[in-house]
Amino acid sequence: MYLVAVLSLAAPARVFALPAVTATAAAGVLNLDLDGEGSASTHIVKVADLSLSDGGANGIEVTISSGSLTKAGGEPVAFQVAVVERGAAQPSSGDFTAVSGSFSTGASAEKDLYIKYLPASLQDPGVYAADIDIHVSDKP
Amino acid sequence: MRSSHLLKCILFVSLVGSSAALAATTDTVSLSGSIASTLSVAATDTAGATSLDLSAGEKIAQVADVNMSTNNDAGLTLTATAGNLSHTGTDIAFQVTSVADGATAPDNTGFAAGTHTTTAARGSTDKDLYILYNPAGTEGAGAYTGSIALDVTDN
Repeated sequence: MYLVAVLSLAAPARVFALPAVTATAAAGVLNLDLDGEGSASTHIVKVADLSLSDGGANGIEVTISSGSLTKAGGEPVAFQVAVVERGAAQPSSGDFTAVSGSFSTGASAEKDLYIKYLPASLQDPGVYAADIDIHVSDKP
Repeated sequence: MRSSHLLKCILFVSLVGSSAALAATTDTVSLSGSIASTLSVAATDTAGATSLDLSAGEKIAQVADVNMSTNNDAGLTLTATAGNLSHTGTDIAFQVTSVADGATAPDNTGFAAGTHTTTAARGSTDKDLYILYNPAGTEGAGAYTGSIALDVTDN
């Protein structure tokens, strides 16, 4: 009986906010043009649609990791990330952050995730791969 | 009885404490792309390759300009095979070697009787291909022909 009393006091103390992120990969994201066969240029490519929702009263914080496309024995191809509103124009080169992207938003948002990368003109042949993590959390 | 009361207190603290935690979650986008090998070799015959001096005595002649390239980090290996200049069953054997583009012609110590191999770093490399041959001067009259197979592989 004592246990029942404790639960009834604790349950209404707070409504939990459960932030959510869904990243839907863009077409071509597994077939990126990596040059490396005698010439190279800077690429800015949309890689995912992001759906962010269920933020708490203060909104949500989104952190997106940058990194490198890598393969064993090859020079990595570093990339940077940037986000824009869903359907907005492609970001310019200066919109990309060096290490990782971090931004705040309200209870929900629809974003487009882009990467920028510049391969070397000669890259070791093979398959290069990477993962981008999109982490969302309630803002305190 | 006393231990049961303690258990209930711990449960209460745990529930209240979790209500203050901030929730978080993560999703991942996987990326990939492929880069093809650019391994290639091309040979341009020299003007003298089809008018070799077949008089008696040892000869060294440049027979081709060779360009080879790769995007392989470890570079490439060029293989060139020795052979014969032949005419109606008569052979004049030749050996093969290569030097850097525009370098001085090799002397007769650098040739391979079988297979000549050389390596090159990633990128584009030019070489001059030479042969060494030694006609006896007693071969029958006629046109003598031969070929050299050039093969490149990524290291």
